[in-house]
Parts: sequence; structure tokens; C-alpha cells
Amino acid sequence: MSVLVPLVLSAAMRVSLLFLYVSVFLSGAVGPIAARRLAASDDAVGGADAAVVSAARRIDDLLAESWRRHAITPAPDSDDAEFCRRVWLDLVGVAPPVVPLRRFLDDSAPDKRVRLIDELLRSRRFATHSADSWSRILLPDDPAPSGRPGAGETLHRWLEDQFVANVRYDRFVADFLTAAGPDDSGPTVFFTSQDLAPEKIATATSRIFLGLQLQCAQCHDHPFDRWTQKDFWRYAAFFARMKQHSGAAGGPTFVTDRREGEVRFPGSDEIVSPGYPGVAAPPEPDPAGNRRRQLTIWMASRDNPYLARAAVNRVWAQMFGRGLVDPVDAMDADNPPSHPEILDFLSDFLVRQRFDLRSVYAAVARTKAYQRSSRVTAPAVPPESFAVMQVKTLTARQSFDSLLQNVYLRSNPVSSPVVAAARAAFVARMKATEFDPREYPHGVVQVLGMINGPEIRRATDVSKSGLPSALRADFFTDRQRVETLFLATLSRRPDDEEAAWFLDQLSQAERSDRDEALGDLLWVLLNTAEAATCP
Amino acid sequence: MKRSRFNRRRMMSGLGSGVFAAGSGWLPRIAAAAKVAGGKDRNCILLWMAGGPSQLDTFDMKPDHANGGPIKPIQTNVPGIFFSEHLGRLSGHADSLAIMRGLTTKEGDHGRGTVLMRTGHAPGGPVAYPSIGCSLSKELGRGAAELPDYVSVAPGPFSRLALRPGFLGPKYAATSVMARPAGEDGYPKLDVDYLQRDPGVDDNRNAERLRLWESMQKRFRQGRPSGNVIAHDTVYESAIRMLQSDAREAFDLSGEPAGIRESYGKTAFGQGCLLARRLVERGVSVVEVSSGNGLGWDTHADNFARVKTLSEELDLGWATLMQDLRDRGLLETTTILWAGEFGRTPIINATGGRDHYPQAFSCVLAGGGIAGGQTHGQTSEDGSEVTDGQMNQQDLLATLCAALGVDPWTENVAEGGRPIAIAEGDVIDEVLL
Repeated sequence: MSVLVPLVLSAAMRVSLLFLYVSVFLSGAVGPIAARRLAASDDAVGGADAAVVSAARRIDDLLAESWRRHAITPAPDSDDAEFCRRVWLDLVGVAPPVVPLRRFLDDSAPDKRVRLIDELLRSRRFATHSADSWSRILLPDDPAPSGRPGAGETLHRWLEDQFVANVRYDRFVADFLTAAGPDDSGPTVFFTSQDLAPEKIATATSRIFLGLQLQCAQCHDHPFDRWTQKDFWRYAAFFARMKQHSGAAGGPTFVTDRREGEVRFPGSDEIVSPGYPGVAAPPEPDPAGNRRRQLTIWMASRDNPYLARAAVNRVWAQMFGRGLVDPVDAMDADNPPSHPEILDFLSDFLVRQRFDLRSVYAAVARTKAYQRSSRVTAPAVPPESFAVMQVKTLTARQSFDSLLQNVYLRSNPVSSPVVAAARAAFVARMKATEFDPREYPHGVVQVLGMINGPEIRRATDVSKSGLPSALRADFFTDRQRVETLFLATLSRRPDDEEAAWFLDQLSQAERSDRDEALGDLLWVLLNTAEAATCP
Repeated sequence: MKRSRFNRRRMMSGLGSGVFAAGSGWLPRIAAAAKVAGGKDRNCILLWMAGGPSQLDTFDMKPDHANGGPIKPIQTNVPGIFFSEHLGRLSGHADSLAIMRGLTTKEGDHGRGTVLMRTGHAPGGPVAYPSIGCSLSKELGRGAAELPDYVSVAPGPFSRLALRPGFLGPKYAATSVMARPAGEDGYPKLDVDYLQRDPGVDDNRNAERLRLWESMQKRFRQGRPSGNVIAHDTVYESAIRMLQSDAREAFDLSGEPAGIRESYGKTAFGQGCLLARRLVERGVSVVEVSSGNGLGWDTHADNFARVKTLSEELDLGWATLMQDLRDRGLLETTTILWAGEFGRTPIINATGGRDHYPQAFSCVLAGGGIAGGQTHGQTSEDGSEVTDGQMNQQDLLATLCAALGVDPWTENVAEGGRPIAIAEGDVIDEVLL
């Protein structure tokens, strides 16, 4: 008897664990959205719903007009599953979890897409995903450009804080450009990663925040554009007075602003004084003589036409897989936008919305254009017409986080050091600099890692992986199991033919091999192009 | 000294990016070499001495100076050229080797030095420069599909960081082969990353997986034939073909005759050299083999005994590789670079060791495109400075490119659309055929 008790207990424990898995999994009480609403922003996104609605309509009108002009037939509307996968991946960087996805598919309310957009934009995950994207833009050479590990993490944390608080975009840029202090405290690491060199900082910041390739004028006047060599060095002069102090050994480096320091015209002794790009007048004075602050006076003002254009173009590119100007950091005169009216309109809209970037996301996500299918039915149309949605390749983070959430059934990547290390290893292996979602950047090495590597091996191992383990429960039918596998990996239900293929595999398996069969089905789904992309 | 100096300004002022067909001293020879070799039929083997090998105890001996130490020089098969006594077999191939004795760089730290020598650039800037192996495999690669274009054998921790493809993108990353301790047969094991299927998945299950995968893949591709979806399909097909083909056999050294296996030495480096030969034979264009299991050549103490052991390993592996390549007619099309992250101090320290020394050290080029049987550059009597033929890592990489028939000014596009040359140094004509 005394021998039997522990056995009984452990069996009971196993059942209750399983019950826990299944209940979480079926009821969805712990969806990331429900759990993590932001306290401060319960109002409609952007604070002005009517403005967002009319902006979306205006964009659709402008696109419809251009399609008419070019006799283009746009793709049909996306179905609910396609839209749901897309909007989750674009706005919060992860495929929808099974429970909210099912709820969304079964919801018959006509406003369900709009509600989903607003819900996602208010979630903490939107801030995290925005911080992910901006980290990639600001520190393409991360990890550890400063030679010290973890510097990228502090920048990420700072970025996340800005997006959680929904700091106005002009303010965000100004805070970023004037950041000083230890380089483990946020944006300062960006400046030390550029070696504090004025010409490097000028090159990077003009690309990132203005969408301009000013550095082409670094050595000679740009042959196509209005930028002169002088423009470049005048802009670089704003960053000529930064200084780096090292603190305690092994500790952070400090960045401060000095009162002296100049840039010189290449090949001469001529000091170049600071000046705003394309503005002849000298810059606004700063009471403390801080040159970086002088720059931000213009940077965040309405006199700077580039800031808002570059920002809305980036949002557009994130959502459609290509910018209105493409690439997004070459918005120069020789690279005109595909739809100048839309770019002008959205830039004005951002300024009118007092630089609330979320309202731009809200407006773009609500357009009919964003909600069209990526499935090709008609003759091919030019991609810059935005008449068919671009299929976008997932970033390494999007892939891993979706796997973690929907297959391992763990929601928070940083909650465990083991998971965080696994994620970092995967991201390092799959990382693509200058990631272009229209391409599949990986080679045989990375694909072998998908086919035989530790992530999918773990995902398909019933003893370690939450999803297949939960699906063993007796009360599921095979049809439910197959449907759930599809929802978790491809964010859609199987069609009849697919369901037949997968059911066939499951029913053929001997009773003892069923765990393996579940793992095999999961392996197939996770290795498809569909799982690696956003429709 | 004869060098090809390119006019960078003139080349960069051209509009747009791309390959510039500039006139130069060695380009006609490349054209000729290409004719002989049949275009892309060129290979590169990098022998990497992790930790920084001692030039004074290998290829730049100073027997008449106190800095020289106890290791004796021996005459090679080229009159007037001496190697260390522990490189006896290799001294029989000196007529195929060009010894570069004038290397100078600015990085004396293992991590930074490794990145510098592999990419040509110090780490830390905003541009993620690719390692030379990645750039070369992009140029030389045959996309043979069944095998990767770039394989790195037994890379240490510093090499792993420096092996990055940078702005070229992950598809140009090296396939790593990790060395594991010797098994019962006394040979270290060399395992390719992710080439082994989950041992629990048998052939039947695997076939079923692939059959179902193909059906799913085909459906999605039909509805959404965009570039990324097609590329996904293509790369997967290549990887699957590689897993199913005889290519896996290329990595299996047990297929070699026992005598050949043994002649390379029972070390990870020696077996790595044998693997390099097998891979080159099967169309892999760039292979790199590391010696020193991480930082072995970092001989701060007990330099002479440790260099002796390492040299014997090196001698066995490298000399056998030279002979084997020659016997198979591959030496003419295979260029070999021997290098580490820096050299070692001429002055012997209190613990009988030598410390980091980037000011004056040696590298060796050998095989295809190289005019062997010569030394290039010279150091002072005490070995402390370069007195002739000074060159840096960019010159070395540019010369390696030229020996392989690759224009070092071939540009790739980095972040922000900036065109960047593979190597910006001066090609040293004298060591080229």
C-alpha cells in the first residue's frame, strides 16, 4: 500500500498537469492581449477615431484612383484567417495564439477586424515588437557592437519604454539624438557604436530619421541630388562635440557634450559650421551651446519636411513589405515615391495627429488595401501598385516567438534564461543584416538547422513540447488535433484535402507510434514556406 | 618593390555599383589563369593557426640572434630558404610556398585580431564586414547544391565570431564542422552541424514527412508564387538533396584508405586537412581548417615545447595535403593561405614564452596562382620590425583574391546601399604566378 501511494499521486499529478495545459489552451484565459493591456490608453487608438477612419478612406480612394489610371484589378479581400495572421505578425511580431484566433474566426460581428487592430495596437507586445524593429535599424551589427555584451538589451529596454508610453515620435527622435550618459543606459550605445565619429553618426542618423543618403555627398557632390558635400559636413558638425569618458574598468563608457570640437572640410583646414540640410540660414541657437540640441530644434519642427515622410514611409514598409519610397532610407530626389499623394497625405496626417505614430498604424491597418489577399488570382501586377499584398518573410524573432508561444506554449521569451538563450542562439544563426521581407535570405546552413536543428526537434518532441503533449489527451478527435496543429502553425484551418492527408497519417499510425505521428505532422507544418512567411 | 596600386577615387567615382573592369598589372594574368583553370574552377584552403603562431619558430628563423631561441633551422628544397626543424616534411614543398615575412597590423587582441585578419577590418564599426571566406565563396562558389560552398573545420570560439557573413547575408555563412574527441580508432570525430537527422526518425518516417511536406509546399507555391516563397522552396530542395545524396559521404573520413588517413596524422587539424582535400575534390570552393583547438598557438609560456608539438601536427597535415593535392592534379587550382591573428614577440619572456606581436609577423601563401620558392619581405636581425616588404591584412587579402582570380575590388552592397570592395589593399604581384 505504501508503495502504491506515490504511484497514484504521480498519476494524479500528471492528469492535473495535463488538465492545466488543456484548459489554458482551450479557454485562452491567458492570451497575451487580455493579460497585458496598457493602463494609460483605454481611449480609441490615436485618440481620434474619426480622423483615423477618414484617413484610411482617403488612402483607399487615392489607391483606387491610381489603379483605375493604370487599369489594374486589385486582389480580392483577404479571408479572416489571412488577415488575422497578417495583422498579428505586422503589429505585434508574433502569429496569433490558437484561442484568440479561433475566437476571431468564429466571431460574426462586422467590426471584428477594427477591434482586433485597436486591441493589438494597445497591447504591450506592440511596444516590444516596435522596439525589436528599431533595435534592428539602430544597431544592425548587434549583438555587442561596443564589445560588451548586453548593450543592445539596454537600448531595447529604452525603446520599449518609449513605445509603451507612446511618446510622440518627434519627441522620441529628439530624446534619442541628444542622449548622453553611460552607454548601458539606452540610446548612448548607438553613438558609441558609431565610434562617436561625426561623419558616421551623420550618415546613420540622416538615413534612419530623414530617409536621406547624405553620405553620398561625403566625398563629392551627389551627382543626382541637391545635396552637396557642404550639406553633409554641415549636418555632421552637429555631432562634432561629443566626448567619451571611460568609467570604472569593465564598466560603462560615458558620453557627454563639450564646448569645443569641429569638423573640417575633407582635404582642407576649413572648419565647417553646423547647418540644417537644405537650409541656408544658420541654426537656431541653444542656450547651453549644445550642438545636438540645436539640431533637434529643427529636426522636430514643421520646417523639417523629411522627418514625418521618413516615419510614415517606414510604417508603410512594415505593413506592406515595401515603402512608398523604396528602399526606405533612400528618399532622395532620384528615387521618387510610387504614390506621392499618399506619402504627402500620410505625412500631414502624422503632423496633424501630433506625431502619434500609432494612429498611422491604425489608419494603414484599416485600409482595404492592407486587407487584400496576397493570393495571386489575376495576371501579375507591379508590386509597387499595392494592389496585391506582398508575402513577407518572417524575421528570426517572429519565427522563434511564434514557435515559443504556439508550440512550446510558453509566452514570455525573457521569463527564463534557458529560453532567452535558445532564442538568442536561433536569432544569431538566422540573422540577416539589411533584412528584406520580400526575400528569403537563408542558405543551406540555416535550412539544415530548421530541418534537423534543436528548435524544431524540441517542438516535435511530445515529452518536451506543450502543443503535441496537450493534443495527446483522449477527448480530442483526430480531426480536432489536425485543426489545432494548423491553427498553431499556419494560423488557419486546413481545407478538406489537407485535412484528409493529415488524418490519413494519424490514423495509419499504430497506437504506440501516435506520439511520433503528431511530431511528424508538426515537423511538416513548421518547415513549410507558409509557416516561414506572413501572408 | 612591384605593386599594383589601384586608383580608388577613380574607381569609386563611377556611377552606381558593380564590378569595375579596371586595367591592372595582374588582370591579364587572371584572364589567362581563368582560361587554364576553366573559370570558377578555383579553390581556397585557409589553414588558421588560432592563438597567433610564432613566426620566429616557424618561417622567419633568427638563428644568429638571442631572440631566435633553441629551435634549429633546416634547409628547404629551395636554396637559401630555411624553415624550423619541426617542419621537415613541409620543407620539401618550399618550392610551392611564398613566405610573407613583412606583415604588420594594429590589433594585438585575439578577438579583434581574428576579426581584422578574417574581414580586413577591425570590429566595432557600423558596417558588418563579411569574413574573406564568405566573400570568396560567393565569388568562387559553384552552388553545387549537394555540398555547401564554404566549410569551416574545427573553428575556435574567436573564429566563430569572425566567420560571419556580415552584410552578404546568412546564405553565405560557413557550414561548420566541429571536432570531437577521438573515438576508439584514435581519430578525432568531425561532425557537421545539423547534417544528422534526429536519430529517432527512421527512413520511413523521414520519407513520409518529406512526401507530405512537398504536397503542402506545392499548394502554397501555386497560390503565392512570390520571390521569397520560391527561394524558400529552392533552398529547401538543396538542403534535402544534400541530406539524401552521397554528399554526406564527403564528410565521412572512414571511407579513406587507412594509409592515407594515417598519413595526415591522428589530430583534428590533420584529419581536417584530409577533409579539406575531400571537399575540394567534390566541388566545395572554400574550406578552412583551424589548428590549435581554440587558442593553442597562444604560447605565453613554454613556447618552444608547445610550438614543437603544434608544428609536428601542422607539418604532417599540411605537407600531406600539399602532396595529396599535387597527386590529384588539384594543387594548381587550389590556393592555400597559412595565417593566424598575429605573430609573437621576438623577445622571449620570463616563462619561456612569447607574447602577442602584431608589428612584424609572417603568413604563407601556397599552391594555385602562387609563385612558390620565395620569401617576400624581411624583418630586422632581432625580428622586432619589418625592414622590407611591409604589408597589412588588406594587402594580404587582396593578394589572396588575385591568386584565386578574383578581382579584390569586386563590390558588394552593405547597409545603406554602400558599395564595399572585398579587399582594398595592394596586390603583391611578386608572389603571383
